Amino acid sequence: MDDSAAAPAIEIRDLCKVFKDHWTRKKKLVLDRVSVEARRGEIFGFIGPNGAGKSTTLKILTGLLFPTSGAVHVLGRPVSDKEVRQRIGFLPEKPEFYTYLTGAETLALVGEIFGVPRAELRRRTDELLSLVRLSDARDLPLRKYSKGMVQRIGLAQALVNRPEVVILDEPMSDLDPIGRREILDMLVALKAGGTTVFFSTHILFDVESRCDRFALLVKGRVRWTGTVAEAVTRWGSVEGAFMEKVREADLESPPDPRAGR
Amino acid sequence: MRAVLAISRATILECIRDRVLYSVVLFALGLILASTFLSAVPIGNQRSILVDFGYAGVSFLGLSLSILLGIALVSKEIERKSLYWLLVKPLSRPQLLIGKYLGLVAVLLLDLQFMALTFVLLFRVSYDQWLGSFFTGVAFLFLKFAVLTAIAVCFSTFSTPILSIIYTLVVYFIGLSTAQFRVFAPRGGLVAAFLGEVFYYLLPNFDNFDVRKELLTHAALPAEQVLMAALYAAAYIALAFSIALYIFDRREFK
Repeated sequence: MDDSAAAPAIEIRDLCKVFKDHWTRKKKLVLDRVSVEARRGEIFGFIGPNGAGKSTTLKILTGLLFPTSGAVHVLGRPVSDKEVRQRIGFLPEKPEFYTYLTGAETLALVGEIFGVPRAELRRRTDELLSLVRLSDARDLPLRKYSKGMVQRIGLAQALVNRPEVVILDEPMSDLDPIGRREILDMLVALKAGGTTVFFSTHILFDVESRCDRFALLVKGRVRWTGTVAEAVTRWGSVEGAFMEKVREADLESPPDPRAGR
Repeated sequence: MRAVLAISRATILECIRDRVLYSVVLFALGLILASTFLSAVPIGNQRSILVDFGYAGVSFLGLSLSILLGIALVSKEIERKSLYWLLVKPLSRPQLLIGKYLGLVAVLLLDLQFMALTFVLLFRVSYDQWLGSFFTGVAFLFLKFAVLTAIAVCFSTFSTPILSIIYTLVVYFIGLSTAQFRVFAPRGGLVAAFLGEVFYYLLPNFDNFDVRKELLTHAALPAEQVLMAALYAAAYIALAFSIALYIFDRREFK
């Protein structure tokens, strides 16, 4: 894998993940030969029903989980590479931060970790708080933030280092329609600035209205990958593709956990 | 290094803004203040009672902080998933764990010294005597609880918060009596004698940090004893942390 501009932003190849459960229970194959590629500068949606394996994929992509087999590369390098982490931003699903830190302190902590020079960090903190409309709440501890505010500070902390790739796990969860719209607009603005956005969701409208391409994951397998336009041409809508592929998957027998070894 | 310090600073801020900390400090302060009333009771050596209570108050604070915050440091954070966003930053897992530990140990040191100062001032008011040696005693307590915190962190890397608390308490109470256990164990036969040796060398012997007698007799502590206690603590912290880092580095976060 090289780090040339030609290397995809995200490349997942034949990824398998088996969760080893308690010895009395069966092993569970959560991801079955998942292959996905997100190109640089696009908004890529990663969709699927609950329990499809979206969060597991994103956790492997960010190094929180280790693959059972297969390969995962971000910007042409393995995610364990510190250099890669310097260039990505991540928002976990239903994020939990340090509740006694204020919004400004949370961003400052991230900036320190990224080694942002102090003077620039102050400017960057102000800029990001303004971007996510939290300037008025900058000195408020996060335990006093609403869910929507936590989600917004979560997005801000993912952008402190001006990442080339932003990975977001269900970024629109817990947001009201206005908050959702704002986040979606921010994702579009990030793309306009050249950032690759890779996000998981099960809100199909968000994918249809903002994504360039998407992958559909059902029961641990990628059932379809392509542009939104292709899906609309073939199934009438992203929802049409989703329903069709979920129906097909329901007719299959459950995957064999040994396949992931 | 800047990243490690940033994590330490955030940990200190989290700790000092947490109300749990204040309730523990208040309880320990209450214990020390209560000792002034008890020392007025005309039994035995009043100064000795006061010093014992002061020492017990500081010990209670140290034990509570080591357990509560040491477990909260990793175990609870894993459970609440509040570590996830940090684990993806350009920060190695050992850096994260070390940063958090240093922050916690700084809070421990500050709190213990604050308690020591309160007690010494109280002693001064009661007996018109400056009990400077109490700070040395508390420094030894600090070493003891820094070891216990490292052990709590170690258990936290692979266990649930409740189990981590239980394991840490078990190590603490066994650690208070490993020396005696080693002496008396041979009376129970060969197996007991063997276990006595195992416990003695495997678990920390917290007796090494108990200088209450010297405090009461105002005997100066030999530099050798201070140095040995510090080295002993450093060795156990290094051991507990090596195990913790090994497990934490390989752990998956579902």
